[in-house]
Amino acid sequence: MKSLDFHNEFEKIINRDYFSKKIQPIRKNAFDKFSEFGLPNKKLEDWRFTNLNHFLKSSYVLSESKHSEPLKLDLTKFEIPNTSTIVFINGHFKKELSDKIDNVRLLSGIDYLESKNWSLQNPSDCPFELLNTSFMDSGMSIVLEEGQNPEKPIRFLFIASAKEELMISPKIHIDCSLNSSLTFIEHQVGYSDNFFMNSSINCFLDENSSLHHIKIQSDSPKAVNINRVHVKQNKDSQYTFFSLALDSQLSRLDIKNDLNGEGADCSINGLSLSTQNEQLGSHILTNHFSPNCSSSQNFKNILHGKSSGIFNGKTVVHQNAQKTDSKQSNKNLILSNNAIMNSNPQLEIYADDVKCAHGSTTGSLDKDAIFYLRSRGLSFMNAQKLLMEGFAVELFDVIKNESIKTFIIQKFEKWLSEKT
Amino acid sequence: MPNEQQIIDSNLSKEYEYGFVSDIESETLPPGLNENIIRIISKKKDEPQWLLDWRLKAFELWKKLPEPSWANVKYEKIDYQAISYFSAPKKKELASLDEVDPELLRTYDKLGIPLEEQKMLSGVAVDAVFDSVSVATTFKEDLKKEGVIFCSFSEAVKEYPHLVKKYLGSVVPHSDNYYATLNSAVFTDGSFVYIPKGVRCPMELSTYFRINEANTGQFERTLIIADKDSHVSYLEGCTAPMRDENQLHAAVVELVALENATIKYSTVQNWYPGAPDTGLGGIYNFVTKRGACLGENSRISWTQVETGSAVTWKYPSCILKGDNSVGEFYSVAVTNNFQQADTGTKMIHIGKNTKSTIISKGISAGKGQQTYRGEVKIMKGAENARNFSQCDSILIGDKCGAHTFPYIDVRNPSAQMEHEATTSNIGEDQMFYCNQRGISSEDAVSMIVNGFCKDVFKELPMEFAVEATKLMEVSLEGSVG
Repeated sequence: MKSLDFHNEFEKIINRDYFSKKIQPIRKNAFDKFSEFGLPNKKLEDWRFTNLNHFLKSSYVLSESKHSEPLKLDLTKFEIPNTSTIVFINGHFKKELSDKIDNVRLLSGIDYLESKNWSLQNPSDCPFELLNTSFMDSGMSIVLEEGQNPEKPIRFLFIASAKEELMISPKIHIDCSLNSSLTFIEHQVGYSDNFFMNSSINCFLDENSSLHHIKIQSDSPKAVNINRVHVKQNKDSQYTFFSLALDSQLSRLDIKNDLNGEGADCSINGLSLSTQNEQLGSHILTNHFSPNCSSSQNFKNILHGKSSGIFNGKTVVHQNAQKTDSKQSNKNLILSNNAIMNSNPQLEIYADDVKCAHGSTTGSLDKDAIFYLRSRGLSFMNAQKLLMEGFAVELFDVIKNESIKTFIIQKFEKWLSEKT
Repeated sequence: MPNEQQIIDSNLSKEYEYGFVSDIESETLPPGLNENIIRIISKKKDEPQWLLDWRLKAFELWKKLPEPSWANVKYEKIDYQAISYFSAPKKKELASLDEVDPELLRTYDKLGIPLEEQKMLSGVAVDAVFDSVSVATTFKEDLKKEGVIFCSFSEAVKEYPHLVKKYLGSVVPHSDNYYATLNSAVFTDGSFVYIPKGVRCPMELSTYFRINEANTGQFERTLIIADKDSHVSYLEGCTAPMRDENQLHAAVVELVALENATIKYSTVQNWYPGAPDTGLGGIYNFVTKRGACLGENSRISWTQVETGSAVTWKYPSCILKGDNSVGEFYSVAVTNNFQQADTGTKMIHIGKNTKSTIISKGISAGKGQQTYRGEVKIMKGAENARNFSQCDSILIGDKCGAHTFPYIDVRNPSAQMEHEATTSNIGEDQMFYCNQRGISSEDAVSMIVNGFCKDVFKELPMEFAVEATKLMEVSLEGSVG
């Protein structure tokens, strides 16, 4: 889809009467900017390794109300025990399929914007963020009151299931007030052949609050998944992120984390698994604006087939962010002759009293280790499996909730047995 | 005993020791760059037509190229028309040292590298480049016996045109990048080395570059060819006098290593870093250095100690084309006061079983900004390629910066690739440990920094290791607390 092709769809969304008039100038403003900039290309440093060919060739349309009924649906497959689930079919909120959540304030996108006096929380000039703002049509916002601590994790389950190639643009806000804490699961599932998920998640963590953010993405092999997460953290807040990315033709995750208050801590983790020709990218930017903050980035890729993996992690320690403790790690397994890995772990440091380290390794399974296991009676397949499992399993430790952890480990085991 | 802050202040405010201007008449072209200037340079150097054509081709391209701006450095835009592209000391063709202008000799004395002494004591052949034209070349006869060619570039063009024509631009083509293209159009002189088959060069080859004439950009071109089974170690060192206007240095160094050949290229760079309180007047060091390991089992090793220049922007690289070839990069870079450096390396693995090692140590003090930017690329056919990178930085003072931007691109599953980096300051506990045992803060810092750099210094040839340690002392010792 070229940038010009978006005009038709934009006409459609701006004429939808069920959206508030107040939103239209926000959309228009974003779309004008997008039209001016156009889509990113490889000449931009940030987009150097991202191949948009598949995206440019597809033509996506808006998800209409007729798309709110799925083609096929088997929710049991995606069940995670002890979670409150909110279901979105092709971007449309399905009340009848969702759990009822008491005591937690859930707002629609419009209501949230209204509560913020019709201004965007994180305006950005990233072309896909501008597209998201122009077309935002789904999602929900969670607002936690002071000291609130919902017992069950809240899960947003996005299911894409339609004949057409749909464009879905959720905009989600999560506001954690003083001393509150939440486990939030973002679960994306694709039944459609090809669709374009362009999500924007904005988190605000006030003093001493904590947010565990888990993202599970298993799409159809032709899906385009472009996600942005923007986190702003105040004093002593804690943010943990874990992402499991599987399938999808193009998957790009941009996480921007601003540590604005002293003592804030963030830990960003991810595991990307490929089977054939996926493009799995993780672009992480951690900004240390305040002293005594700690951050870690830990990403792993296992690449098969003609897939490619990107890790572009950057930690910026600004001048007054003394006593920063920051770690970056990127480890990759390449298991085929045609897979490509681009790893750019970057550090930008303007303060002197800091501890910053990063490391990156790329390679295949150690032949000696395989030999060792085989000499003890394991089959070649099982030896490989065991090594891959050992490679990935450390990441799952960041997930504190047992039922989610089990679900993710099952997903991983399934992928592993299909792959070996 | 002075306290730490006083030590910091006194050392940070240390003036550049080697700032002076030699008073030698020189023949200089008016500033400006056009086709005519290139023709004049070519004519003055009595060059053959093919070389002039090559220069003009590069110049045509240069006019169309945009000036790059991606580096993590800030500097005032260069006015390429304000630079004079040719400057040569008037006295030429000297047979022995006695004929060299005494003023020039004094210049070397001040730098602590008296030509005669070096000749006698260290056995180093020195091809002294004073501004742009080689004035005196020593030990030429000794080298001739082994068949080693070590001469100025212009001499090589006249004497060995077949070699120059074959290898010039083979590693760094005239279209490579903005500054290499500019260099290809206007280069004035440089060094040329050819080591014949099976010869181990009997001595370390060395060139001292020196920017002398005000407003003269130096556009050196170095070409080193190591034929099959040969071995050479080459030293390059630089100092420059104090200037108020920024001076551009856009040199090109090309290394070619054939089968089983080894080239070791060491640099100690100590150009004028600019006025300590403003950063004005320092050298812009935008150099393109690249080596090609063409043959099997060949090896290229870059070692650099960068303490000078206002802006350093260079990436000595290795193209590992031959099977089993090895590329190495050892670097210590110091940025103090207003110095900026964006440096690193590129290792392109093409052949099978190729290996590369990158050790980069950055020390940033005062308001210095330092960036390590490196690329390791493992191409599809590079079976069993191996890379190890380590980039560490020390930060001294709260106004400096250290940045690391590695690019790792792996296209072969059998590759093994490791990268690690740390950034920290000198720990209070380390300082305390030393102080407690009666070592002054100044000595402790010197000790810690020296230990930090040891991995790189041990790669330097003997002669340079001494100079490097001395340079580190001048640039840094005690500027920390």
